Amino acid sequence: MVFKNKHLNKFWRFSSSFQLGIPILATIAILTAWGTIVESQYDALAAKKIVYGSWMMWTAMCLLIYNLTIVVVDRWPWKLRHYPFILVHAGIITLIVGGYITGKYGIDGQMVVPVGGKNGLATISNTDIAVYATFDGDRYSKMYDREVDFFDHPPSVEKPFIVDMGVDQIKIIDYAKYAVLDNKIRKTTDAGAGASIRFQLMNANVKQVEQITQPKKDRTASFNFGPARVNLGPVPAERPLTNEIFLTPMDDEKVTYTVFHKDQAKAFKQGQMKLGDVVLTGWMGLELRLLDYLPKASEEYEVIRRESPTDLTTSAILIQHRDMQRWVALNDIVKLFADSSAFLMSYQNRRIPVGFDLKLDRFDIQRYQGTSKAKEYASQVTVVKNDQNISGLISMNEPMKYQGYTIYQASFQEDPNTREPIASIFSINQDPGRVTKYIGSLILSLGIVWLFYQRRKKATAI
Amino acid sequence: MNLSRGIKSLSIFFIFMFSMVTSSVSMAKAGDAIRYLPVQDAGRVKPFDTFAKETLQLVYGKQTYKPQEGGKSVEAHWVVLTWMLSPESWVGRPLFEVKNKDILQKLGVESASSLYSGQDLFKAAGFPNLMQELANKRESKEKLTPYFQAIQRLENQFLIFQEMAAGNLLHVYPQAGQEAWLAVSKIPKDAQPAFFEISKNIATYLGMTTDANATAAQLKETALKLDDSVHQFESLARSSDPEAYKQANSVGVEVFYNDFHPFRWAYICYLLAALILLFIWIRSQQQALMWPVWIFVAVGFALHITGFAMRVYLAERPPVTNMYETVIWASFGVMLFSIILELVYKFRVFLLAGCLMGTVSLIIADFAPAVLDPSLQPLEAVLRSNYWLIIHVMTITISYAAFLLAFGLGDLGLVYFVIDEHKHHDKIQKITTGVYRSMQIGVAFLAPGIILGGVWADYSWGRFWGWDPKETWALIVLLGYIVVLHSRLIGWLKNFGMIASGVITFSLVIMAWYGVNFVLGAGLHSYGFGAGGVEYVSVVIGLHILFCAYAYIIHSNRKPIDKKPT
Repeated sequence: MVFKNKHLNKFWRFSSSFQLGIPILATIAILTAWGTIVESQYDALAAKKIVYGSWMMWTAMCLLIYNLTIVVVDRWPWKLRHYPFILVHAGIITLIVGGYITGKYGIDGQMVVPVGGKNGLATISNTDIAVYATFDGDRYSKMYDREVDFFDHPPSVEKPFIVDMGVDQIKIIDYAKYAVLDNKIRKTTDAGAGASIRFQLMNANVKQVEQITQPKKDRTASFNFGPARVNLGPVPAERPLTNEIFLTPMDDEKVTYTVFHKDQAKAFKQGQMKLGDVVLTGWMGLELRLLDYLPKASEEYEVIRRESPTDLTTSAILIQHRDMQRWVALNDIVKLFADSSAFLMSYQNRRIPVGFDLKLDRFDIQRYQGTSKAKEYASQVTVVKNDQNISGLISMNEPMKYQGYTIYQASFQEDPNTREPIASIFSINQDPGRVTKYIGSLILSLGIVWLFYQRRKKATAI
Repeated sequence: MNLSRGIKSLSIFFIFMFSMVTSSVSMAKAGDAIRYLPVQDAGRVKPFDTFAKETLQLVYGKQTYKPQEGGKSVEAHWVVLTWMLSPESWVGRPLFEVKNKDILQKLGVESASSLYSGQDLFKAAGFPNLMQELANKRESKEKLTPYFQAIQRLENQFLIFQEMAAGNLLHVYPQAGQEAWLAVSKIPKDAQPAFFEISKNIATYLGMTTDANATAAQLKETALKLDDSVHQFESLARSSDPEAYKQANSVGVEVFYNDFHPFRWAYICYLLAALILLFIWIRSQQQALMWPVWIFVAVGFALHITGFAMRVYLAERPPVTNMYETVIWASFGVMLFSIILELVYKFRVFLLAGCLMGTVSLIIADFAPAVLDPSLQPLEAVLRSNYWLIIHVMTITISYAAFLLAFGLGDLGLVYFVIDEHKHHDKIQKITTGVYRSMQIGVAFLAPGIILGGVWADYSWGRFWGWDPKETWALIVLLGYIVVLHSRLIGWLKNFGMIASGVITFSLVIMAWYGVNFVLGAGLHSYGFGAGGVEYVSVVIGLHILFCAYAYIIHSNRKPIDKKPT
């Protein structure tokens, strides 16, 4: 194409030139290489935030599309020999546009469904802060709900993030990207708090010390160590036949214990115990000693910052409410008290209702012979919507599609002691850009093959 | 090519193959039956021979044991057997390879060699501390640095030695209804005498081999007795669970594969072909001597494919799932592309570069088992969708093969720039054509390969593109070569630029292929990750860049004479 205006012509020539194109390609290569280094030092989220989703990447991508478009338009009127060239460039543009649509409108979530349980919410990486208030301690109303991005905009004492609820406010004054939580069990006077015990299990081969804490009064907390289970809480009316012991808080000093054996429904043994007492359980000669007992305890944590993420780190915020300060880890809820009201504040990954429930009927796992390495695993699921039930099998590389969502088998959780699977992890997403991306891939591949064939015939550039 | 010559070369090929096969088939040697004993290990059933070799590799760093006091090397299976049957005889021997200086210092061991005895290492005062250090590091769930990886190896060496001595590591006895085979120490009472018989016969046989007075006939008799006891135990084990024992049908092929070293023979052939080609190319003798070249290439290629086919048969999967296998596959690709280009252009230099690169990569695969692990490992669950795996990984890796060919050609081209670019202008022109063509082939495979990877990722992970380091680096490679090809198109790159690009741009391939797994070590493609060799790879890249710089200086000093119109 040639323009009459000299400057416009000059600008057009530059826009369609390799002088622009090659530096753009090189820039993208360098940026993405940097991204992979960030990812290896931190994690995928950091790489996305710092590099792949940054303005630099956006600029480079926009310039690339601009350059590719002008290059294609410049060949007008198109002849047959131009087609492979046009296809390749149009394919790349389509691919990038598809990627943009996915990033903008797609949902890329995760869903954890326990064996036998169900879930209807997809968790995504965006984070929200929500506050609920109550005046009678019974009914809660939402006072505040907003998306926050502390990774990109970390709060500080000087520039706190203020959660304003009108009558009261919560300040967020610090943010730890990679925090290890150090649990501290403390005595409290809160009437609704649960109990906490520390105990030792031992026989000739085993010697193990564990602590369990009830999240709330009368809510059972358990520790499962494979052949048997230790529970802190009341004995339920119905229970499966297993080896287990229930320790039920009685008063400030004593707990009652009830020991069950897997071969009989009736209690094997019952009684009371206090600090230092030992119960012979009768399971493989195991004895249980009560090392510590707090009738009212709350689980709090301190934060240890790390330079880079590991499987143990999470992000956490430091909140200040009146003269109280405490850390809140991601996906945790805190209760705050004001003069005549109480607040619940949550700092959570956003959960999107997908419009149906996914029920996990069965989880099958096959392992390589004689090892614990997973060979294949699959989830037998039922999709429940209103009264409709659709069952299906989701396995590695065999997803299930439902109402625009695609549900993939991503991973699973297993009990650290028994190695029995306890929950299936799905990735669930909605990708409106998928079709565009596939069309782009097709056009691009076609173009490359054609181009290669054409070049072979012409033998140019040698 | 006329008919008689064709027949001649074919027959030579078959004789060559036959002699090689027969020399290896003579394995049915007396006393060898124990090598074929089926063992369950690391998620599959393998012959004892493989188990022993892998175990010795891990502990000792080599697949045969060389006594320090001199004398004949001891084969892995004897080492591992005696080590199980009489551990005390190994306690004082230097059997454990430890290379990390820090670890040796903490153990309080003098770092004289890289081999130490169990007594030196595991009885050292510092040993429990090291184990604790490792446990703490694991607790923190942080990535293990090379130092901790070295401690981890030490821990493995300790556990293997201890468990082997206790008879807990060798799983030889299947039981109906149970996935896991029983270890030697757990064999049921009625089968115990049969295993004891083997141990007894091993002791007798090994005693006999060191006895100078023993006659060949006596030796053979004890060896046959040993074989007999092994067979007897096998039939007992088979009757315990005939279904599970069916998996042991391929042990014969596997032992043969272990002895045969098809890839070693292949690179020997390629090397011979390369030497003749070098002569042809330097002397510009286009017609002469090509038939022996083609024979060596054909035999090498056939062996290469045979070895590959055996791996496929043994692993029951396409062999492109770890570094070792991709190197083997890429060297196959280099040969394939260079043969095709040679048949089209008849420039000789294409086949020369192909043979050189094929030889070099196969030698690397053969000599660096600690970095490129040649053992057959079970697949991660996500990779078990074979169809896509074949297409996606093979397409991408074969594109790396084309870039490897460009790299080889580039190196040859640079040599001519250093010698005299005007005198060898013809050759340089041919090489440039080769570099350009190879890059084109590479791009033509890489771009669809990346897209197929996207399709596969979309299908099994639910996203088309996720900026995962492995896929990102594949993209960077693609961008790099596209920049080079475009620059050539508009004349930014002349012959020198093209040849130098062939060498330098390959650094990106090395990063994508090796660096992501061994340097970055992050991401979803973590199957196939490993450690080691970073120093060597960096030195190789550095030397090539220096070589390019040197050639450039010579090239730019010469240029004015040619270019400036006077």
